[in-house]
Amino acid sequence: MGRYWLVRSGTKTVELQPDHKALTIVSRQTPRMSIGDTVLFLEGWEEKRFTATAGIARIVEIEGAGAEEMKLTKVELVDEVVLPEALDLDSMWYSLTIVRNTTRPHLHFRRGYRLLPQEDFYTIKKGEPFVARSGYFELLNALPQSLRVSFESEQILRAGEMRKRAGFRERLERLYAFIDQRVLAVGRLLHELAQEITKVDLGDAPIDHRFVSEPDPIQGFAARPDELESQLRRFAGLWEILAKRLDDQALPGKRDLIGDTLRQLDVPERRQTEARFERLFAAAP
Amino acid sequence: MSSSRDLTRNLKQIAAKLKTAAVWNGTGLAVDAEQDDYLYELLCYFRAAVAAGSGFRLEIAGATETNRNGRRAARWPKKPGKKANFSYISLLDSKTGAHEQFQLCPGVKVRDLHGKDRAPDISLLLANAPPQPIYSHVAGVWDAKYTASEEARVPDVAVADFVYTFQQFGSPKLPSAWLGVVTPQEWRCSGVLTNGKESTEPTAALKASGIAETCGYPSAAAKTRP
Repeated sequence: MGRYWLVRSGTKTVELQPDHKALTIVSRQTPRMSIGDTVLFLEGWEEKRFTATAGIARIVEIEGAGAEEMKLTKVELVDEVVLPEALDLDSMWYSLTIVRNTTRPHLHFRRGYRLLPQEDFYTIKKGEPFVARSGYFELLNALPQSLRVSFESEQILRAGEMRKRAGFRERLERLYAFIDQRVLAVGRLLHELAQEITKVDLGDAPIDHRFVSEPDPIQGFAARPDELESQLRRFAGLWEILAKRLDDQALPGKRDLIGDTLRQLDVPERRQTEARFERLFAAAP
Repeated sequence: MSSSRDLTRNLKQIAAKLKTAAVWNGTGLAVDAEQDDYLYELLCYFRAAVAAGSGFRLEIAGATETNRNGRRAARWPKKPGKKANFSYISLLDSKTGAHEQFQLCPGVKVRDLHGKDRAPDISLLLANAPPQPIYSHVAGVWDAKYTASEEARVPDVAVADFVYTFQQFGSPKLPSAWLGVVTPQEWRCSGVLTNGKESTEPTAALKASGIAETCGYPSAAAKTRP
């Protein structure tokens, strides 16, 4: 059975013809590609996208027969299939089993070409991401280091007690609860505090409000103050997007976009896709 | 039904906004309800100020700063500290707009009967209390206990700890000049406030100690006992 190769345009090793009829590879070793293998193209500079697939029809070694020489290989392609809709790499990478570095997923896509497991090829071709794992790592990586460590420690302890690792649907739900208790709760307190301050008549001149610590007795200086208004502005963008609603019927329970998304994962039509991914990633980090 | 890619895109957008909101604008430290419980203390503090506003004229006093844009900025403590380093609200005679009646202070250190510095989350000091106040300047004190889960009870030990602090300040009674103005029950007696549930301390024990306990604060369902 043929294998699957991910080929990236715009790298030093690979040059791709614009019509996807052929590609040339410069490498130390002759590429292990074979006739009958399938190539999947990843193209673009700022925004990389999976664009099309093609079959390998012929492999021609142009230069570099000697053992120490750089090899120049031409790979001729046939049967191009353009993917129905160009798929953004960064919306798909957490759905691929090759992505083991979950804090720097882009590192897995630096090379000009690489083997792709059949499951990952199928995932990209289908164009349906693993929502639970994508959401989980997107949100986890958005947290500051100290919160991330705190959450992950809790999860390790819990997994030890349960003697098994939770699926990504469950992990996303726990992360959501953690973010709500540790981050969103602060946003709510800030909002309530600001409302209370407006009720207090402190005279006509406007006053800003800063949260400060005493100067450090050892270092002798105080950190830059945190300001109420600035932090409220930082939260405003988050509240705005969390208030967005999915175009579905009214769903019960806690309402915000993460809560709605979690409920969407339980819709029968999607549950099957997510369950396939859960099985696939059962042993993944 | 939204597509899986739409759901993933939404979560990516949330993550981008979360990244900004989850970091404090000045210090760059993580926003974290477990570390930032001073916000709940300040929320309670300003609720007290609103209650006092019905009978006093309020004015920011103590240490303040001037922003780059020339605006005055109040300094509120993240951790207990010296009174001289932070702002407080001066409660003035409402008719004349002068003559300080009380000082409503956030978490500042006050020296107790035995010379130890203690810092209740909120303290009501008598007029013209100096930058290093002592127990005889204290008119009332409150502690604010934030809990991540509103179903959690305020621990009995937190109430006991507060009672001890209150006693070390000489169990001060709120003056009639305050009681004549401030009507919300929670501010008419020194005590503990929490957004969680009440402790298991009997009401009679609170009464005997001369303190109050307010739970569910500041929701509409807040209850003060005794």
